[in-house]
Amino acid sequence: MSLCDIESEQISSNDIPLGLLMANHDVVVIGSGAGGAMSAHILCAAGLNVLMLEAGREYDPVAETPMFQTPADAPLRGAPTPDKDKGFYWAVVDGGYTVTDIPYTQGGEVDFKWFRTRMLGGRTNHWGRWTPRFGPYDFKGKSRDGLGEDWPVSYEDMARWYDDTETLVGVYGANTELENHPPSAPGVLHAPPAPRVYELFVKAACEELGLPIIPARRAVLTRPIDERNACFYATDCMRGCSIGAAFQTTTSLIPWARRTGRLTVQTRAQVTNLKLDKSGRPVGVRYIDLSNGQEQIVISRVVVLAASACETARILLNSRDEGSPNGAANSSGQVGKNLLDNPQSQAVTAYFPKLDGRPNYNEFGAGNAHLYAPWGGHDAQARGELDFPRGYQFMFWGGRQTPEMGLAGVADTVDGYGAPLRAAIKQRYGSMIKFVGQGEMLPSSQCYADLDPERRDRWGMPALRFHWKWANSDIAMANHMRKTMDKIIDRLGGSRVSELREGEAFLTEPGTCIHEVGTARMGPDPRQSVVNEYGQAWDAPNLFLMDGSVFPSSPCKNPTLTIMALAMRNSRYLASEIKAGRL
Amino acid sequence: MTAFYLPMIDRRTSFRWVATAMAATLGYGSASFASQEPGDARPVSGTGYGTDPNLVEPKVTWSLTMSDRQRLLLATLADTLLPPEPGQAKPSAVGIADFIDEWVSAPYPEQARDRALVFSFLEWLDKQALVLDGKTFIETSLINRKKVLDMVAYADRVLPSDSDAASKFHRVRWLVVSGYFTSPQGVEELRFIGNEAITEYPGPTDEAFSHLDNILSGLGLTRGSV
Repeated sequence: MSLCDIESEQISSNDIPLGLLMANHDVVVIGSGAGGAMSAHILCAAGLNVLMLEAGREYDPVAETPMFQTPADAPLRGAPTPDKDKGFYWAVVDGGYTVTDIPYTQGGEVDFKWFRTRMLGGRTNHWGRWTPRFGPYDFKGKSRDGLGEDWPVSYEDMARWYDDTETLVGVYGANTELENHPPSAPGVLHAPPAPRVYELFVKAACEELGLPIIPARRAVLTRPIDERNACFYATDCMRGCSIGAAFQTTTSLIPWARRTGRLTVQTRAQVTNLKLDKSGRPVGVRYIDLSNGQEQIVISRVVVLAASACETARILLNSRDEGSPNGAANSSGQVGKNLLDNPQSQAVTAYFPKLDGRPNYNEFGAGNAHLYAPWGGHDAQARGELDFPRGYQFMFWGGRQTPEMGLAGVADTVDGYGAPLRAAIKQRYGSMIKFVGQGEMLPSSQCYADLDPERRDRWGMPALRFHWKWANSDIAMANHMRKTMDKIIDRLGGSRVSELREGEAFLTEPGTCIHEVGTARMGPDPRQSVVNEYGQAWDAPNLFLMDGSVFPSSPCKNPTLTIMALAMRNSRYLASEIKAGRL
Repeated sequence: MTAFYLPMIDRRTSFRWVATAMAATLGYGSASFASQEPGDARPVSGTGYGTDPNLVEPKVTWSLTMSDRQRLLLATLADTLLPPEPGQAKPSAVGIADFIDEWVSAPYPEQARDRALVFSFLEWLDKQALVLDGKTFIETSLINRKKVLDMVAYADRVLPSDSDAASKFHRVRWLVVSGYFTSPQGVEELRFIGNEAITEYPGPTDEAFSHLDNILSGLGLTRGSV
């Protein structure tokens, strides 16, 4: 069936669109971030025509990235404001924890914070570029400890896709022998940058305490590939990267897909819902053209939904029709359920007098961590010594970084005034280290998102309502994180600058790790999951989910590499299904 | 009074709030200026920079509001807090009062809280100085300025009656320290190395490694290998 042969009567008669677009495309991809852009790249490379719908505006990192601008060039020296939650220079457009026209509400004990941006490339423009692989245990957690859910794919299924994704994206790091931290194939990884003094300082204490410290894996090139340059060790990755060294889809996947001539990008297209036929399959996508406020419906025989986990759930839940009263692809009732984030500790900043006045050198590095501490507590867990079931990683940052407001905590540690104050600041600049833990939580019936029965967005669509309650195991893990940090700080003679909170309060608000996943999980059973192992909806074989919504669990590892690896794998499957005439 | 605070306007900032800054200088040396009190700021006006500002050519979208006297008082305070060694800059010479004026004039909640705090602390400074010798903080001697700051600057010496002022001082010092050491001169004084493209990251120098090994040795630790 050709695209234009989709009969208009497949759309409910009460939904006659204002604008019905019957463009020449094979697939509509909703979202341009890690999953959506990877999918578009793979599909276009396979010879398929793709229409990408992005709610945000066009974004050009080459022209718009403030690479060398200093804090002194920015209003308020770049400090965060309600307009820019993460600071002036972060590559975030019309977003942050508030998007004016699209509110969200709370229905649980603890408020969830939802970070979004409205720009081509989505959150890949400002992510931390952390790209650890999930390991064998991460895909089969339930088989190991009986908790949560297994993934319908194993590490062995995913290994080659990780290799291919890392090769395409460009990842620095090093292979290790650590349990559940599998290696990349030879030659895949870029060389990691040399560790810095403050990192080696922490490492020495961690090793004595039995904690592994290894080179971080990050999607930053340390050798040039294709048209992208290697990192030049000078600028903050969170601002975006005009030279393409720090991976974002706007300097890679999207331009590559555009060059095929088969990708059409429609920006400022706020998708509201899918239009379903009587069997529940999508036949089109409804969106608001934000440039003129007009409603549009675009017809498509295949839809890839990759709007980010929570927005994907909202679109599915809002795609209600006579035949699908609970929303699209939701016969299981699992859409919006199983919302996960990585429980994240309060940022703990400590001052280490031993580092005062040390010899100066270029300590800026690759714009983020060179070393970090992955979870290495599997043996302790096996011995029953821990009161939480899964693990956490912790990261640390410090040293002589770009001076910003507060001087990374130095301005909080000083006393007095006059010449001694001025001297103390210079002595201590480089003596501060900040620690953050990020852990794994289990899916919980207390953590989910649904539609608010009253609150609506600017276009009349129900807002997403979050429900959250930390589990006792999350709080136990937070306490363990805190004790670990205490041991390291104490061993190195440090003093805490931050006032450490206790128990649940030691965790930051859910959502603030910005690793939210799980709202439309994959699985082997259509009664318990939304999609199969290929991200293909059980209820609608022409609907694929390609973002973090499909994660059955959220290991204590940053999710974006796995989102991209799954999108690569599943888009290849999708392309083969289309070419075989099965879609 | 002949002392005045000259706004520091470089080519990057000149386009953004030059009009208000220059207007603020007009009153220096005038009779009316001497009678101004610290609280004589203009109301906050303007809007935030929005959720999609130009990041490559940043602009401040609000007017400066501090009175001439407040700016001079802040500059005097900042120079007392961070007096320069030979070859170093005074905070007032790198535009510290301009920056804090920009900060407390911003239409954002955190800055609004600081606005009230800073203005209140400036008033407190003058009141304490007046008690000492009948002169304001600007006009009094350096010795007396230090006597005033000694009341609030050292955490373990603050009298309970001065704890509120000390709390405010802590934040004002934070703003002054941050403002100075994020200025180009302050960054240079910190000897920050970065923001310049290099082809390979060299890592620590031999001297830095040697120093690290010494401090680890003192802690009974070793560097190990990566």
